[in-house]
Amino acid sequence: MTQLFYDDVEPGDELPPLTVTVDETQMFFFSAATYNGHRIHYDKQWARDVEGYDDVLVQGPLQAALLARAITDWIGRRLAYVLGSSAPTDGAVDTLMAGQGVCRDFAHLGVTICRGLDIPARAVAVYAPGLWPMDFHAVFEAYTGDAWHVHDATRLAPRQGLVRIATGRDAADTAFATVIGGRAELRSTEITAVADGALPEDRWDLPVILP
Amino acid sequence: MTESLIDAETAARVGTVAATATGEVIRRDWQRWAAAVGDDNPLWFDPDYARANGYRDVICPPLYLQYAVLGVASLSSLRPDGSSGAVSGSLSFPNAPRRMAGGESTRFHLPAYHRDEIEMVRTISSIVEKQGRSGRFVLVTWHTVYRNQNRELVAEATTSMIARP
Repeated sequence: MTQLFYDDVEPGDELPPLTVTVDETQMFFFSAATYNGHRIHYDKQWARDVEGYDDVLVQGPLQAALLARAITDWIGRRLAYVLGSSAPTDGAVDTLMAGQGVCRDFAHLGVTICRGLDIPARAVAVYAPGLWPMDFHAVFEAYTGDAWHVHDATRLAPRQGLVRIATGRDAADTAFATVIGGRAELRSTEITAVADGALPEDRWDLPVILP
Repeated sequence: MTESLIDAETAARVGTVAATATGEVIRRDWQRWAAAVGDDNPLWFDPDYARANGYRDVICPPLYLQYAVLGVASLSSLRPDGSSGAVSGSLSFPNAPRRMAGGESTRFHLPAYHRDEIEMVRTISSIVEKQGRSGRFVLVTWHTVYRNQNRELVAEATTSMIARP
């Protein structure tokens, strides 16, 4: 199992967000697990009438534990997103063995695993608002439940905001440029795709279909 | 001059040990905690995975350690708000009865395993009155040290609590 190491991260790196909607069942179990009898966490009447809150309060240590989870979920992912860690010619097995790659590698691995399970899958190049730079992100689609559902193992940008550029069997079909011989230097390119209003929130557990 | 939220007797406790406690780290207890957090890190659950990552067995989630030392509170010993002050030194602020967690900052030095015996020593670092946007409050800060049965330092934490009128 590979993971992110100390040397792989820099101050200022952004973590993928963890979104949790805490409900009263979770709060009850957390109080039980921490032997916490404080009524502000379960006694609505006490929380409102005696202490003047709008409702019962989410435990501070539960918030701390969720923050810690956001970090450990990120560190412990099976694949690490590491810029420059792979070559355009790497295959899915290379990515799996190395345990790291860029979005193209994550998409290739996803496609390969799906095909291994007899699920039709294809690579998609997209603009990805929320990602910086937001151009030429790679994701994949799997044909499940009578539709092509988009998946992004990097979870770097909400899938609801993705804009399809190209679809193909793998990155070779969807590359923005392929240099066959000689040498090409990319001087500059600038494309911006933005979401209307706030960036959508992706909970990652619901299917999303790209237009 | 309004009356201080902190009485002299409580203020005099700064620098003293607020509470000591010992307890056993129990796998099932930390796993219930992890489940309540939604934290399915295999280090807490899967011995093979933990061993493959350099531990001799599953380990206790570091943030759970502070609960392993909690004792048994009889219901009649609880404060009116249902909380037990046992591990925090039963500090009382009659003029600021509404308490809530402040912050916590912890350094973890060693992993804790099933059936480790942890000793906690908690010292009162400061008790100060602050003026916040919603009014006056008391900020209590503790420093807590956790050692295992081999007297090894497992963790040290700075924790704070807010008490409001």
